[in-house]
Amino acid sequence: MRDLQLWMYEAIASPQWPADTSRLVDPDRLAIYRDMYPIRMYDAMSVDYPAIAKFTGEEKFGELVTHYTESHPSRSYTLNRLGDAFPEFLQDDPFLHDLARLELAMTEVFDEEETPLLEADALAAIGPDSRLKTIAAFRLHAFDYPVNDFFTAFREDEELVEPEPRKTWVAFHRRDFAVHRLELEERAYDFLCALCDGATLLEAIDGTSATQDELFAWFRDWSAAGIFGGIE
Amino acid sequence: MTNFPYLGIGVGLRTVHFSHVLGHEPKIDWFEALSENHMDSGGRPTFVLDKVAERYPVVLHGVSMSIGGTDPLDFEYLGKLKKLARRVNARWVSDHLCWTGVVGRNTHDLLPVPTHERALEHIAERVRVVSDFLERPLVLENPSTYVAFKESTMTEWDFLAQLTERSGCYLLLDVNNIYVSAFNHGFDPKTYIDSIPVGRVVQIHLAGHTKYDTYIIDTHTGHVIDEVWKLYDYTIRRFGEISTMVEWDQDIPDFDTVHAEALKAAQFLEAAIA
Repeated sequence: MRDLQLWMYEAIASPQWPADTSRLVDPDRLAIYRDMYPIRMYDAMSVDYPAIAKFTGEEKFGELVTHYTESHPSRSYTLNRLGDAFPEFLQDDPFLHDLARLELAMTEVFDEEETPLLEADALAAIGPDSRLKTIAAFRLHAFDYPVNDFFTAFREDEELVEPEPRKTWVAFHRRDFAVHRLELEERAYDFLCALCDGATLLEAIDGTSATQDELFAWFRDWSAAGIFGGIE
Repeated sequence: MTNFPYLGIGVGLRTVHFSHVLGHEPKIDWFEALSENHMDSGGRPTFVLDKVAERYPVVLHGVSMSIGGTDPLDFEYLGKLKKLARRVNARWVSDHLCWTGVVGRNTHDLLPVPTHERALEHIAERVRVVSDFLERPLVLENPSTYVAFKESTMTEWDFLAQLTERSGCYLLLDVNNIYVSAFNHGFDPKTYIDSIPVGRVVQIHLAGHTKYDTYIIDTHTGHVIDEVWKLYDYTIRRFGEISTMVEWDQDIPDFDTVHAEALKAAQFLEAAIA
């Protein structure tokens, strides 16, 4: 059985029609499986990377998916993991690389386990030595392109034009089962990174140039957004 | 059969219907959820399934077990499936008589197995291992197939009948798949149904399909065609009252349309039982 399965996998997933189809009663019908395989890969990738699919167009995105799945065939029982290496695959195109990182972060946050929010009472009780933990459904990313704005333009069905490079910082989190994107200024991003890396509140404050008013505003916004999940 | 209650007429729980199902709590007997859509997501799919399971009986239907595969069984996957089945009190857990990939690479297709003695013994052993692990009998669905292997030495229906005996598995009989494969391979679908042992079928699938000049593809789109309804009628007259559901996975219409399609089965069941 194994040699048959090895043969059939290659016969379906490789671009070339197999040289020998003598094991099949009806070799022409192999085309049904061969035709469905790239469609399935395309569909799965376009679910995870809809902005890249729209921006690059059906033909280019199809080529990207074909080349990607040749070098990164699915190795999981779920198609949800098929696109995990797509940002790395696109690293020679800095804009698409950033956009893929943004879309992957959204997928991760969508699927991440649900963890409790930090209660308001607990937040009021934090002290200088407190270590704040975010909820599981939280990601932080720095980008070389304004991909958050680009993604918003995609969602609003605006014309998509590759932007000029510009450093941006985005937090991703899930609230009421919806994924939210919160664009940050660099100091806020650095501050959240410090907290995520395990710094105490005092250590994070010592490491930032933010004013007390700015810190107050950040915590107000982040608490309202529901990104904190616990205190250590 | 006491472990497999008759649930009535159900439909597949699909993402596009989540809001409708939670908001309207439609009068439907049960839902079939796709296992893989819920075992890895901690977000809305999990929340919705938990809510549905509080209100309706749920069965789990998978596409990734690869029971006919030659790679080792994936116990990470099986562990998640077992946990999910317990959480939603799944009435049963099903997958397909197929393989999906090899050497760790997955096509995510339901690929046909050769039907011969070695395959039968191999798959029966895997079914026994999975059933032991899940602590429940496994239910397997007959696939729709487009190719056949020269090395096969028995029919699919004989293979399935022997598999139930050797492994203790039960069957999810997909009547549309029988129709599709019968057309594609040129056999009489009634011969298939007549050869499946009474008492081993716990669920029936119905679906639409897409017909081309010389073959049919099981696309799960559109209404169930009259010939498949007639085959369904023939099936329940042999097997009796069997939990039945309609799958609709492409161009999915509103929930009420899918539900109405499924409820047609109730008319056939009433007539057959009478």
